[in-house]
Amino acid sequence: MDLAIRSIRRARLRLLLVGLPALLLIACSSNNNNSGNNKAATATKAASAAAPASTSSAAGTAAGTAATATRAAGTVAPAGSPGAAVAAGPTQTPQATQQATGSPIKIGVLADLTGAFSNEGNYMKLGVDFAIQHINNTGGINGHKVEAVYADPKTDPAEAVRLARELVQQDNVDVLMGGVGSNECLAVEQQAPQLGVIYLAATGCASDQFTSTACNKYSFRVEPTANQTTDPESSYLVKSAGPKWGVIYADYAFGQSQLKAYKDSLAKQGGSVTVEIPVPLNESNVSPYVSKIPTDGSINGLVVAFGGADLVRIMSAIQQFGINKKVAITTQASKDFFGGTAPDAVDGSIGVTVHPTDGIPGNTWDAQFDDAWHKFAPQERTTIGVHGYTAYMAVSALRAAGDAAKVNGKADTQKWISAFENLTMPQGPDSPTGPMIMNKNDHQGRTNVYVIQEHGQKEDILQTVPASEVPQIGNCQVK
Amino acid sequence: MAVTNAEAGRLTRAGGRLRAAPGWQQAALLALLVLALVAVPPLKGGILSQRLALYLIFGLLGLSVALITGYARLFNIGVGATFGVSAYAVAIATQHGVSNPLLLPLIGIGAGLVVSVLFGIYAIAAAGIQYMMLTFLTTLAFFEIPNWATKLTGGDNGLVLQGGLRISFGQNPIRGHGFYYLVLGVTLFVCAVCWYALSSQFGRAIRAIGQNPLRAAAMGYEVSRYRMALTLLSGFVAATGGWLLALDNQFVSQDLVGLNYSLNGLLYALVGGVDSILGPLIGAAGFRYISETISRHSSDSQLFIGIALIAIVFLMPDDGVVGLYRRARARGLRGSFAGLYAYALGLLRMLRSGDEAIEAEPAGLRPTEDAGNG
Repeated sequence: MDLAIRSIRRARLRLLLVGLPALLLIACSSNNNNSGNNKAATATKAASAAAPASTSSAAGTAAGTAATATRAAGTVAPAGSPGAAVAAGPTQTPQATQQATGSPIKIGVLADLTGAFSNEGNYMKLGVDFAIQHINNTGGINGHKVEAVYADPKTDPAEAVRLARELVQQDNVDVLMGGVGSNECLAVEQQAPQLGVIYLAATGCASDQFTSTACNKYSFRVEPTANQTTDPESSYLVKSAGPKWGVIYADYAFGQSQLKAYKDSLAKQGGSVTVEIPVPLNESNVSPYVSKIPTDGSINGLVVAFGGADLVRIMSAIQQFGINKKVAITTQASKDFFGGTAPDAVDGSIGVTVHPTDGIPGNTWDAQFDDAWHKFAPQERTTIGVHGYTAYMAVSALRAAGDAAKVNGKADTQKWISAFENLTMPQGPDSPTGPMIMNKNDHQGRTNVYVIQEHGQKEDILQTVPASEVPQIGNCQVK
Repeated sequence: MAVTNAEAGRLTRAGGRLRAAPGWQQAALLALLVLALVAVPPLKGGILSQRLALYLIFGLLGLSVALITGYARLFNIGVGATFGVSAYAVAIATQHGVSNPLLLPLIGIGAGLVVSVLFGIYAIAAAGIQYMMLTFLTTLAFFEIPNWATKLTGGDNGLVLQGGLRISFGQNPIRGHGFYYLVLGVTLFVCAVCWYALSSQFGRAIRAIGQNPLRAAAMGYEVSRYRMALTLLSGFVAATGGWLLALDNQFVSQDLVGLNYSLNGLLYALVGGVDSILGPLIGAAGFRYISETISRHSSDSQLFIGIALIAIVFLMPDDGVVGLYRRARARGLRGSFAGLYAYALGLLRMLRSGDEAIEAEPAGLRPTEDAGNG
């Protein structure tokens, strides 16, 4: 018995002696590779970490260095910063290629770099870094350099709340943004008035509640969402395919809310949902559900409301059953939902986005924007996509409002809010797809919405809905 | 070198003294700790009081796990459900116009106790792996409830607490120290209730049942009744934590009723020590402080935390930080240094000459099984 106990102890001790240093070694090397991904990373650090392969490229390693700054600014902002100039009024001088010199304005970014939303979180970080590089190279916010302080809530709302408080009260950030999950951004939204800082939802945060029912004076969302995208899409779907639609959806909150949004939107356009097929979350055998989709002409099209691996599984089954040849399909078709490469299964499907992955034909602002993006992040296979773009737009809008109100930091939050809620950004380097219109009542923005269709790896724009025609999200009134 | 019988006896007596009847030294130490918790946050300023409030709340979660796992030797990994259901009950009540700060804890704790009754039934009907699996599966089921009742719970969007500061007795979790003192006061009260219960005949019976339920039953104890009572006490502690967390975050979400919070509670208890009241509180504070600090500097924080936990399980497998303190105290200062020296020497000798060195294994830090069971 003694011998056995000693053998076990020996094994434990050896494992400890060998295992701990080995794990530490792995951890340290891993940490070195990701050293810029975390909190306390400044914009400069973040930019170098975000684009590790760009050490010799134009947008390169140091967002703050003058050499790369001038080149990048020349590409991104050939005519200065019209958004900022217009928002600031005619007396404001355009700030192209001017380096920001004032004391830094810090943005606390809740980027989910790990966890279920890490794909979106990493795109958010890239979008914020890209925007900050552009802003710092074109005069900053009212002359102040912008810095990002990152924190990773790991898709946990309680952690998002804790980090939001810590960013404001300990790291003294001037503005909060981020939180990919709807539950994260809704939790942080409640904190913003007490913390006394502007909070910007960007990338993800798809819940309409954020501005339709839970709106408050301090919280803003620039990207259109929920019925703001499904209404224009439904209009196109009814006109192009017909009025009768089926919805196959993930049977949990996201899928259920999509079902409701499409029901409402199709009804507004004279259409209807005649078939509803709920599928359990993470169901591996989807054939029994897909086989319920009628192909006898009783529906004109099918809404596929899934995300992640579920979406790929469902779309593969739809393709195998040949359903996509018989009814029109609409889903999240954009390539950046699939890591830059659209699977065969989404070929021919229709979707809706605020920034098409393959750019916008005839839009020189967007072409220049995409060009600058590829120089900034050469490792990325697609354009900035919808996730990075919405983060970029949020920071750009913050800058435009800050310039207009001539803010110097958190002390000017009330001035900043007033400028933000009255903000209209014209098309330009700060808003390349088109104008951004902020609604003063609920702090929900509107930008152009694009109905797109996948053809292999090519993304065609079927319809452009101008920002001014995008519907309001609800009738919430900020207090 | 193994621990002698005399040393084992000393250790046992020391452990028994600390657990059953704290002497003046322990009382003074506790008083000092409470005094520090009262005085330091306002003096230090910043966000210390907010951090400590969270540590105390999660300490209650850890304490709840420790009561069941440490004292009753029932491996419950579903305490998070009790914690989360209480938080949800508070949020739902505020959504329906309840803002009385005295009524809300009753609602939260009441809801938590209902869940505890379920776990209590499991404790009566099952043991070992079966009990663990029942608590595990129940937690998974609870995680899905917000998705089934989206109108009531807000689904995966979560639920905002209404009623402003009134629901937390006018104390703002973000500003000032009032909310921290509320949490501290409640935590001290809960700890006092637990100490009273565990120091009584009830506590001794629970320990006896935990160590050998058959023997305890043969001695005339009604095992099922005691287990149900302890599960309800544990549920009360977890539900109190849930109520406080809901007030602190002013928001509840699905994660609260999931497996993560249950496992975190278990970790806090393991790190601090499962057979003491103070241990889980220390474990929660230490574990959270370390993980928060590492998270600030690395996105691989989970890896570092994993390494730390491996080390803790190896070095302090039985009773965590508090157990380490008990053994050090039992040996006295010189004995502790001698133990550490023997430990280091043993490691060095083992590295140099292989297996023989194991003979010098940590005599000062690791008593034999005999000593542990004394």
